[in-house]
Amino acid sequence: MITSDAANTEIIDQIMKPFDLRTIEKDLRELWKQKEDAAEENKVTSTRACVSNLLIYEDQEDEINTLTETIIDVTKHHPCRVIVMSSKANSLEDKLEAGVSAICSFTISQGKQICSEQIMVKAEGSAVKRLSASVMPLLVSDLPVNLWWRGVPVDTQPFSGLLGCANRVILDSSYSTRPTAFLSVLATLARQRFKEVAFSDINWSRLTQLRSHIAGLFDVPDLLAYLKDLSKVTIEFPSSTTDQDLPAPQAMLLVGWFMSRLNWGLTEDILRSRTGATILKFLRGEHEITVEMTPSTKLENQDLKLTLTMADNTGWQEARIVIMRNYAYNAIETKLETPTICWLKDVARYEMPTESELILSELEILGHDVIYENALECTAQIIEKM
Amino acid sequence: MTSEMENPLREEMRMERKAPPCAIVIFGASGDLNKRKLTPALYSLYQQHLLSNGFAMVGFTRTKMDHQTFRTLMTETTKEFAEGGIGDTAVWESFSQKLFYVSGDPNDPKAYQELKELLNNLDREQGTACNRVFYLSTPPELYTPIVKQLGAAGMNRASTPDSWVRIIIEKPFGYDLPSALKLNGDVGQIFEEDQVYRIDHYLGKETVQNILVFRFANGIFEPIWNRNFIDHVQITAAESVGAGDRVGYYEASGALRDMIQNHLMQVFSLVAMEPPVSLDANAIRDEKQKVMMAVYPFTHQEVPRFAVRGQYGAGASNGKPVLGFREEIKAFNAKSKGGRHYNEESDAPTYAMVRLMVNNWRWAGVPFFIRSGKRMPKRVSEVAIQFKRVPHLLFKQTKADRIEPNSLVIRIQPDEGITLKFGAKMPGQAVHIREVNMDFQYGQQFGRHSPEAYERLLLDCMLGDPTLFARRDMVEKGWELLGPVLDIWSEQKANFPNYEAGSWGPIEADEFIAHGAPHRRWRKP
Ligand SMILES: NC(=O)c1ccc[n+]([C@@H]2O[C@H](COP(=O)([O-])OP(=O)(O)OC[C@H]3O[C@@H](n4cnc5c(N)ncnc54)[C@H](OP(=O)(O)O)[C@@H]3O)[C@@H](O)[C@H]2O)c1
Repeated sequence: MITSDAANTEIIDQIMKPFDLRTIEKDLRELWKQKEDAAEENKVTSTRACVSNLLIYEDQEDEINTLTETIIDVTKHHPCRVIVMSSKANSLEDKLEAGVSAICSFTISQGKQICSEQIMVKAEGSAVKRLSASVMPLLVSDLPVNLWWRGVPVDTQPFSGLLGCANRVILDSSYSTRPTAFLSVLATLARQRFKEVAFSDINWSRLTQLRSHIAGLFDVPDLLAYLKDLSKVTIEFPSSTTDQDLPAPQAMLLVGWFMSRLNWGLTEDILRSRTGATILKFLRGEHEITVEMTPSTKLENQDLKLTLTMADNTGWQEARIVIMRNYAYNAIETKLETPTICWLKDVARYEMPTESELILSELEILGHDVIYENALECTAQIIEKM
Repeated sequence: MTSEMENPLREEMRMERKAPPCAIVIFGASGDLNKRKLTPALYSLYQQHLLSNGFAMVGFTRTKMDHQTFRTLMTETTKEFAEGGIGDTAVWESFSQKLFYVSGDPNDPKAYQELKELLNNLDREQGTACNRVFYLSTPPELYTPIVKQLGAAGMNRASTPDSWVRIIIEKPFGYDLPSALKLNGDVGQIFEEDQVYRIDHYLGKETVQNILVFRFANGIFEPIWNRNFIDHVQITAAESVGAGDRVGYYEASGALRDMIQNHLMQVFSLVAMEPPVSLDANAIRDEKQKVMMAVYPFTHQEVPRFAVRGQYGAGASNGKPVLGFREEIKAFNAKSKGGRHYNEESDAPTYAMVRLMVNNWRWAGVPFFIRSGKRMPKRVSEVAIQFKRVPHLLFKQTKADRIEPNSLVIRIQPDEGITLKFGAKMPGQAVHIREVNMDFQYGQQFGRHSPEAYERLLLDCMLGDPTLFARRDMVEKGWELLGPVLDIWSEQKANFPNYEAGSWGPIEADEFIAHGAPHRRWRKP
């Protein structure tokens, strides 16, 4: 079957068959033959390209179809061998099936197509246990292996098996209904498997623009001078985002980031207020910093609001920066009140990244992202105290 | 000078390099270069959030305007020239609030006092942190007067220990060695060399930067990057357009000055240099300069053995008949009536080619042929490394006795990429060998456009990274090496035109490259 979508992409699919390595290889060869014949007829040049292996695991079978668009977008910029896996562990059958497809997109130099290949593998019942061992021989050798695990990491197959062959595991802490537990597990995994695997959380990537914006504010020397006097950080998030109004994972990751970058030490002083706010105290030398993560019902179109208060020892030269991420306007709004700088309000437009952009940004990183790992480690320390 | 206090939140791989706070002053802001390239590049950086919140741009020219009129002018021209126009109007609005204007004569000290006052205000109001970039985008005659005025107004030095002042100079960096020495001397009296950024937009191109990565990040190329394996190197910058409306400029400069002395010499040095000890700007520039020093300095008498010039006559381009260069001048003169007239018998070379020999261990005996021309069959810039033939041909008994040697082509424009050509056996019983290409295209593999050269270079300058800018010694060495060619060509009458518009240049160039080495031919890329 050949289909084309509006975005200049062509997908050639073949039907699912019982899993057999030789059949898969034969089907792939046939697919490319079919593609070449079609290309000759239509006078388009198509090139098969592969810069890595991308394993995608999705445990909700009906979600698989919604992935197609993301995969097309990802392969357009990062041609790779995609292996999509799904499983139904509670099925009574023992079934392992596979089907191959080609995804071809027109590149920016007109008239040329760049193609990636995709292998879909579905496991049911006890075959789920064999899933990781079965896909292993399908990996293109000598290329990095990225695993995008769309679920909660658990210590059983197929996650444990796939972990063994991956160079990078991409997770999303926003998936979980228990984000604190998720982040703790992730931090433990990152620590234990540091030598073999690097971990990414796309919820951390969602913070990149905001973090970059915050960092940008302190590029101005006048403001940088205030940073050492940072005495209070309040992070507000919509109250419905988490269970029991525990801090939203992004809020916790932000605090972990401040803690690791600004060398704060966590104290035992932790308070959970009745309104759901979590109040923490940190120390940098003698200087005390209070952090408040608080659910709020007052945020309109904003999913994060930070207030940074900086006061020098005398307390009279106080500076405040309020930063709000507004998803309705794709913007980050900043309000600044300092005695020396005049500009007060700034609105910077940011397109909120799509899922494929978030994945692509992870695929660009080779090896460890130390800043993230340190922030995650600090976040885990905070969670432990909570 | 870097700031003593580092921003602990900034250092990170996920965050793109972002410019520190600064004000950039563009002299000649009403001109073509600013409208077409500089403001669009700054705006694009702003859209990508790569400029600091503490950023301001100040236009400086004679035309009388207030800030608002300047903003309106920039709105119109950016709409026209920026790749995606101005896009989101709210974003443009906030950018345009960062644009300011001072009108004044570049020779009038009062204008510089006004400029200084404005810049001091911007430090307070916009948070530009006393950091300055002065961009000379005026006709080159004004470079020295502007630099002197900046010095007289005390604007050449940073006003606080943590701030910096830099100056960007557009090409041409002189017209020949004496004028380059004079310009560099004038600038050097007012600014330290590490404050001076000579912009060569060619170096901002992704593939040019990739030459370094390609050579030194891949273990397989460096061992064969020498006279044992390489027969010769061809560096080409061809344009399909003629001089057109720029006959005046071209009449005065010609292909050697316009392209070879600056852009192609830079490319040459990247291809031929030794590995730098680090990626530090001066380590790289030192190696580039060293290879320039190793180029054999040919004398006036030797010029015919090292260079060929050409000028196009009438011919065809893009399927249409086109005029020769001298006819273009005639047509221009006829149109301009009372205005400027140019020499209708001009000997300006629209094509130039030089052979550089590098006298060092790596390159002894390997010629570098560098050519540039207008009205060639197509627009293409590339570096082609031609490898030697295999020592004895194993496949003599077959039809394979004409195997072409391998070549590696680094394409700079269009379609930036790298191609390796090699021989492969065709399927079948007999040994038939065909040439095949292994192709890598930037746009294809990485699926994204490379940033515009000016964006990259402006950002580098604001960040204080001079790697991709031309250093004084290299500019002077370039003029020194090519000086004899310029002298001989201006003294001796040429027999022009000697190539047809739409061809690959004069026959003399073909004979030249094959002289003593019949296997050598110009590539027709
Ligand atoms: N255009 C390009 O693509 C390009 C490419 C590479 C290098 N360059 C170099 O970049 C520089 C600027 O190029 P451009 O094309 O923008 O130049 P331009 O348009 O000729 O001149 C820029 C501005 O300088 C001012 N100016 C001109 N003559 C003057 C004079 N005698 N006294 C005082 N001011 C004068 C004019 O503004 P006012 O009349 O308002 O004062 C003019 O708008 C040149 O050195 C050029 O060689 C240009």
